Amino acid sequence: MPALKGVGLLKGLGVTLKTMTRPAATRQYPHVKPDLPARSRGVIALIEENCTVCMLCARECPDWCIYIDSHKEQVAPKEGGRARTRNLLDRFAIDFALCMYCGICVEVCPFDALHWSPEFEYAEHQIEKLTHEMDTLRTWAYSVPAPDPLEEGAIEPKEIESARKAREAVAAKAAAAAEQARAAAPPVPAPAAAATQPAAATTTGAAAGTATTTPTAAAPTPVAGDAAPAASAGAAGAGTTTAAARPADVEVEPGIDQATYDRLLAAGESDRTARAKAKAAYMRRAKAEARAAQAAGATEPAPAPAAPAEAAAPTQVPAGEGAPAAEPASVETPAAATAAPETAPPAPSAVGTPEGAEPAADARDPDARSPEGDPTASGTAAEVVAPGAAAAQADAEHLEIEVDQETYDRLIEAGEPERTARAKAKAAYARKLRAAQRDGGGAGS
Amino acid sequence: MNGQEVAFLILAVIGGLAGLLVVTSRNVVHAALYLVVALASVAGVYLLLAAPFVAFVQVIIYVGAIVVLILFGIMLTRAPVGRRVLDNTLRARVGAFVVGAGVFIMFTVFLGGAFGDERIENQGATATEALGESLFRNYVLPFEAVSVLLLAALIGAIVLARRD
Amino acid sequence: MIDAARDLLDNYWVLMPVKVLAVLAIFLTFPLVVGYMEHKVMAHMQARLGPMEAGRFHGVLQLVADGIKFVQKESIIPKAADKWVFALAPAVALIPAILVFGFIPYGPDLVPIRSDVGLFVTLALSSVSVIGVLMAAWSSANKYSLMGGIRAAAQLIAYELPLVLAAAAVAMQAGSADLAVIVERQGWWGYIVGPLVIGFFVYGTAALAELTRPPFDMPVADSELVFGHLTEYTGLRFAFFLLTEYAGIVSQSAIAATLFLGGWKGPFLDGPWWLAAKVLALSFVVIWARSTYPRLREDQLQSFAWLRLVPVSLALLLVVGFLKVYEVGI
Repeated sequence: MPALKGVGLLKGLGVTLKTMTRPAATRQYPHVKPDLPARSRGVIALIEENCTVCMLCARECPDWCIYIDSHKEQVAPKEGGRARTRNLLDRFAIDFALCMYCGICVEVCPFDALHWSPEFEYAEHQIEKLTHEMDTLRTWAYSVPAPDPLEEGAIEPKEIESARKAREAVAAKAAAAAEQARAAAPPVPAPAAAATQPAAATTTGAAAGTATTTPTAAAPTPVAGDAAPAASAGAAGAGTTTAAARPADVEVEPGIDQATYDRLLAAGESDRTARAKAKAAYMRRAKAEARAAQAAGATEPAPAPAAPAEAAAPTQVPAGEGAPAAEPASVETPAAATAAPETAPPAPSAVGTPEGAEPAADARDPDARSPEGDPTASGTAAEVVAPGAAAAQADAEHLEIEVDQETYDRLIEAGEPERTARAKAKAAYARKLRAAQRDGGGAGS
Repeated sequence: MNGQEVAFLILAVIGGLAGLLVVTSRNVVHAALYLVVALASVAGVYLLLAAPFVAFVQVIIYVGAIVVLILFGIMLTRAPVGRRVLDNTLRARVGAFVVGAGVFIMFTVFLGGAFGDERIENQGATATEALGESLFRNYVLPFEAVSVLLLAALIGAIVLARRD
Repeated sequence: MIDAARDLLDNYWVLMPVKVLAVLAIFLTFPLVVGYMEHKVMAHMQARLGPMEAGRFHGVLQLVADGIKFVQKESIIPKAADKWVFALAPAVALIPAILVFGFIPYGPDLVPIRSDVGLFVTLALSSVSVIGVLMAAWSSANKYSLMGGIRAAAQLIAYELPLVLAAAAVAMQAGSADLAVIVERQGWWGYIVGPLVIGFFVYGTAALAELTRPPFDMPVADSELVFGHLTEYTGLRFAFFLLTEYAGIVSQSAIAATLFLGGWKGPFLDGPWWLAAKVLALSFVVIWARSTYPRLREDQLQSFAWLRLVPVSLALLLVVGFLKVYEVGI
């Protein structure tokens, strides 16, 4: 029906009038913070511990706005072999006046050192101030959200796998040693054996109270070390924790969980979402059932070996102090920054290396040896910092990150927002600790 | 000399000067703008003669329409933008002088012949109503004749502007 | 006390400055109010908030801040420009816009300058403003300005006719060209009831075009002509042109309210406040039209004026004349 001429003009007036009576769609930015998605691409953040100075980002950058300085350092060989060199990052800066936010650096980084951070308030009055050094880049990394967990039944990431294998080997060795010790020693109550496996699975304080007096039943440190990757796994890109926790791979026919589907539809979800979620629910259930069936068929997998005991290394750490080691020795990762408890006391934590060398020895696990800063692999290594024996931790670059109270107080006084102050204080703490370690490490080796 | 006469003198000087500048200005747009001043001072004279209706019609028609049309025409054709000037040739100047002088002599002779030394008393304010009555009663024939003339000019313009 | 004040005001030399100051006060407040209203109304019609900072409360002092900013800006005259004409143009545009306010009847006895041809005075003054626009356009020595000037001239010539004809229909109906008399002969509902409602629309449309307000803003079409005749203007001179535009909205709204909406008359308590309310309401409509309609094309604009508005206003004149002669009350 041909509309009356001029009706459109009136309709137009109606539209504008209606819009006027409705609330505005804009947000009063400086007064009201924008509600950005968690993965907004506000700025490029750096987790410097993960950086291996491979220079890929700097080379791929179309604007050449990444500046990297580094130096080489000799690392003493482990059991024989030649000395290794590795790069240590001295400077990492991004000139955000040049950066065009293409994100290629984030894409090419092979070690997840560069991330998109949602921080966006870093405008400056002078263009030189837009070149941000790595301490600033580091503080931005605290607001990077943890990656999504891997899909159920996904293939285990390589570094996690190798770490797991190393750990299993160590555990087996330890179990054998413990067996030996038990055979040799008088029957002393040694409950250490009982508690450890759940710890490995749950990542919580593992080797609970290994109150053993036998020198052989050493601290449960390897397990505690295992706890570390688990705590950091979410951030490091590995969704899985240990082998025991990782479900067996089963195949099931895909289907849809009707109840979930109906419920979601009723809840007002779109058909597509509802179907996808219903399918996921079905798959979860079906896989669980399949697994249960499998498990029933096979023999129950033997619980992981008991508390590892270092036959060769009578540790000087009193066993009672071993327990705090179980605190999640959180690796410094974005997730750790945002989610992991910051309360872990850095003080008395048992030092444990699979080799269980003297406290002064290198804390690294040679099997899980990785380039410095590789998040996942190094995370799996038993790198628990014990500032009490800081000198021993020459190489441990993964630290308990605490807040440097002095810096924090100073910044708060200077009027910085609480969040910035905390982030900077953390960075300051990390810097101090690392410097202390390097010094100590240099002295030790 | 009363106030009215002083005002008239001022208006006359301004109008006369502006008129002179209209014809001597080497820039067409300036000439058109001086014409605005000249026409406005004529409107002022009408006001002094207590004929506000004529005065404001003068402003609406001449300033608001005629000069705008002239400016429109200039901009649409030669458009000497900014300070650039558009000077006349000698021939055009001579022609303009002849026409101007002729008009001046004609008006002088006609007005002198019609009124001579006769002194015209200043009349009271002309009510718009009275103006309308005289225009549409006493002078309705000349009014209609002028209308027909304008209509003819309008049609002539359309005929000239038509392409086919 | 009141008598003394009255006696004092009877003195011409006292009354005149009072009138001048009052008119200037109106000239300096209402356009700013309308300017602020434009900011806010247009923003909300576009689901925005508009100015929110200046003056703490919803940006009420935004225009004052703008004015201060304009004063601070460098006043640039292009090298090729015709200096005198360029400098004079804002004044030629602004002064008639101020004078118009002197002829509007604000209340029963509140007419700063009463004239029995007040209607023609206001129309004449608003047509003088055009000269300022043309001066600005030509003297800028800028082709965009020139194009804007040509468009402005064509548009104003085209829309002057329906504007005057619609106003003439009112004068015919009221039997006077005196704005005060025109108001007195209307009821508080004005001429909006009756055939003159068409005149109201014709007048409103033509006035919108005269003001070169959207949707009739081809002379300053920013997507084609940068800013038309205002392209080369900066600082205070630009501010004067802007002020002229807002003053034009206010004065045209006031004239339209006087001619068609009963001026200062209201259902109760007649007075200037009614005129103020009507002016603000009409200004709102002007802004409303701006945020609703897209700009017309030049040929659409011309054909709309000559083929629609002029015949309609002529027919209206005929109808009103017929009704008047045969004394059919409106």
